[in-house]
Amino acid sequence: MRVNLEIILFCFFAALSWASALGVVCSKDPVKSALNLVGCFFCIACLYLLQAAELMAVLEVLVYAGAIMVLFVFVIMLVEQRDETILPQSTLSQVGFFVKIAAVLLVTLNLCVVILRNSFTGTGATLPVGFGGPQATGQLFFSNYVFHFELASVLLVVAIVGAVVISQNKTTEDEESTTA
Amino acid sequence: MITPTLSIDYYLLVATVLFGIGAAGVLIRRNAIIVFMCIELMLNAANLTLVSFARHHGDMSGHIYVFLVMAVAAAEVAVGLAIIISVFRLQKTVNVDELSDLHG
Repeated sequence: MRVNLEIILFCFFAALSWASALGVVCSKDPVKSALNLVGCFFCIACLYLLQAAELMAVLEVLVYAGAIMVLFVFVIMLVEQRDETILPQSTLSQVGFFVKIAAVLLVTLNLCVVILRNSFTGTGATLPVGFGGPQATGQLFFSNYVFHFELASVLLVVAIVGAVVISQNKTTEDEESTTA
Repeated sequence: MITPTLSIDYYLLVATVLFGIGAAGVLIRRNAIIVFMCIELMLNAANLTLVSFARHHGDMSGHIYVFLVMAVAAAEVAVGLAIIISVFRLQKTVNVDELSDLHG
């Protein structure tokens, strides 16, 4: 395999995404976790770009690194943090904990082996012009996937209303009793 | 556009490891906010596989599903973080080990 720019970029962003994902799990401070997650999203967006998914890369940065992470940081600000040990002693002593971790690692390793054994040879189909761009995505959305698109909009509206209702302060009865 | 030379399995390997890290984070972290972040990490790993297969087959339907997963993730985060805030207001903690009121 020729070493070219794509391979260099892929290795760089893959390693960086793993490192920042580990940073999310391992850092004690939730703010550091959030910043690591933003870095991870940027790396994943670059991996999207390497696979000609330009619109998805832009959306990844806008939606995840922008909107969702701002929400996370706000909640971290609102919720008072206590010191958390990553592996509490009471949990460490439980056998089930180790079984769970072992199961996760085993599944991951198995998947790696399966993927590498049945490796997809070749470099994939030749792409049509405009693959991954906004125009092609929009045409798909408003032809084959128009129902999915509308469903997503309904879901977002319901989620917004639900979030407002859930995070409301106490009920009106309490307010009346406090004012009275 | 760069002419691709890497086959899909490298991208799938990256996605698998990211998913594994996210799943391990959900299991070992006790802070509900960080558990949520790890769930986002797993969703992103799934998105990466969708984009990889879309590239592999030259079919853009995968991108549509990535978009839908993003919408679901945004909805999930909005509702989930609202729940975390209201739970914190009642219980003064977001440690998932201490939140056992529904345990029965």
